Amino acid sequence: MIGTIFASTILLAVLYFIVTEKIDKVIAVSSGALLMIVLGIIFGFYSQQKALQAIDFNTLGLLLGMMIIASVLKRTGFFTYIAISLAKLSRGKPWLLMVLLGASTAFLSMLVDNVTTIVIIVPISILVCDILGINVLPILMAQILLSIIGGTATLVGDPPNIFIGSAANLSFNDFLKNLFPVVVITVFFSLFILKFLYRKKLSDKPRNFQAVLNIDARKAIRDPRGMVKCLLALGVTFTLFFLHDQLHLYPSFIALFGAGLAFLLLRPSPEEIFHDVEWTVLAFFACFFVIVGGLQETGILSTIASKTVFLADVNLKFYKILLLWVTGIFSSMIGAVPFTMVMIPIMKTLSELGINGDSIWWILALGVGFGANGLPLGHAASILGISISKKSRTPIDIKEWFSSATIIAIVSLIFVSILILIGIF
Amino acid sequence: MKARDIMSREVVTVSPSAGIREVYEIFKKTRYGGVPVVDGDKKILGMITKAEMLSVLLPDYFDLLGENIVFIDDFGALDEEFESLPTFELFIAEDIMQKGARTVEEDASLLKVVAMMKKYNVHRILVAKDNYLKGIITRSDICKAFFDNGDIKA
Repeated sequence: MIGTIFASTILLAVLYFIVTEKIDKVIAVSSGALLMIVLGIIFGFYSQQKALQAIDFNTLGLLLGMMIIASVLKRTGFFTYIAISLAKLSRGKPWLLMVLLGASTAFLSMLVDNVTTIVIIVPISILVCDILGINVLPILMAQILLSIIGGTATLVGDPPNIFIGSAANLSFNDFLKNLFPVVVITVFFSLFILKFLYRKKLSDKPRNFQAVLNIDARKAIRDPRGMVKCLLALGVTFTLFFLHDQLHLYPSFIALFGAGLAFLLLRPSPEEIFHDVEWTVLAFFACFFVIVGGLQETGILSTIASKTVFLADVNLKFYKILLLWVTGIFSSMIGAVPFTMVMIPIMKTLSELGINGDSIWWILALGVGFGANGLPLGHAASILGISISKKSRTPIDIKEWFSSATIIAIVSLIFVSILILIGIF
Repeated sequence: MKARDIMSREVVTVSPSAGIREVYEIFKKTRYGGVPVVDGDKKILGMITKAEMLSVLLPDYFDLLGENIVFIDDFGALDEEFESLPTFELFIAEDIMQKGARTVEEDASLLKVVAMMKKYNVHRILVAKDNYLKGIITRSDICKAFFDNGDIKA
């Protein structure tokens, strides 16, 4: 009992510091993790060994591999090439530019991490809009929201999916079959809603389309041969992802294999590439695993699961919808990653208690991915996108967020609720 | 030799509320590349160099673009705005200054001053006592001290 109180207090304190940003996130979680181990040893609910076992190295390896591939890819100028080519294709029509840049951001986020996509494609998009002389806000918003929605489609698109895939033993193809179609439809109607909400801002006539036509997009590619090699490595990696279930390969092994292949083919400076790897993110995840592991050992998380599971007996569909909305609301408040990590042990207990099938895992993934857009702090990609927008002429504030992003989050969660009602999940 | 031996005591400064044009006029008249921003009591608030003046001309997000712009020659609508400089004159020293400045104490050795210039890649180091401005040392002052002044022997 005392263990439960200590462990829950540590988790709540850490979440408090993460949300309020009173201490740096990594310092908050690492202090929390160490405290969890120390108190666990003293009061007998946790041990060093169990803390080590709680860290999911499959997840960390997958993230590390994908970060390396993304870092190599971004150095080739590929993202800039895409953004400028799409700007030309838009013929200067702002709404078409929003659709093209938004949809391509969603697609790129399925392949590489959302944060990487945003950090490269958003600044170049702001530049393209400024060259055209149109309002960048709708395009920025579309890119931030769709990178998070798009990332939900694949195993490797977003950290919460990586956690879920590893914990529930779901393959890359499982994600693709179950989530990709839902995400594509959501991307489509989100663009439609954005086009409606921003109809006035999107009616600007571009002042200078010729300037964009004059840009030679091929010159954006700093190293054309390198880009081909990098895309080849990415292609091999994703082919192996498609086959990993049959080949009995861990996704982390494939990602690290892809990273190794990119290293071998392109021979970049490893120091520079490793400089790009977000070690603080990896450290954050490792420490949070230790915290959640301690909480799990006290039994509180399985108690939460077993105390609520009776609702599923009353009405399973209702229970799933409740799960979806609780997931969506909480992940937008405390962040997609921490919430998913806390939910995973609860979900595992739910499956053991007899809620059959993988559908609750898909509901968790969709709840986190679509719900995180509800508030500006729900996802690392939105936090980053908003901070970049502050450097443009149209900074995104909380009011702006509520008047479009929150609407999209609510509509997409309603859409998933309907899918649950008609028995798809 | 110490910092106090070669520093200029007559330092041209600007107040934080000085307009950007006033700063430019100082640069033009004195041919200096940078001036300290100080309050009424000569407390150092920051530093404005020509680099800060130029960065006002660029949109803030440009520093995120890295090498992604060097292949673009025509910036379209952005060029038109750049040339008309609509809000440029509204900036005051406080907005554009680099906050804080590299300072040394009056009895700091010249070796330290040179090392700081190289380390932080700055052209001038302020001499201060408790962050109150006492003087300034430029790269030229250092060169002069070494090559013209008989005090330092090879």
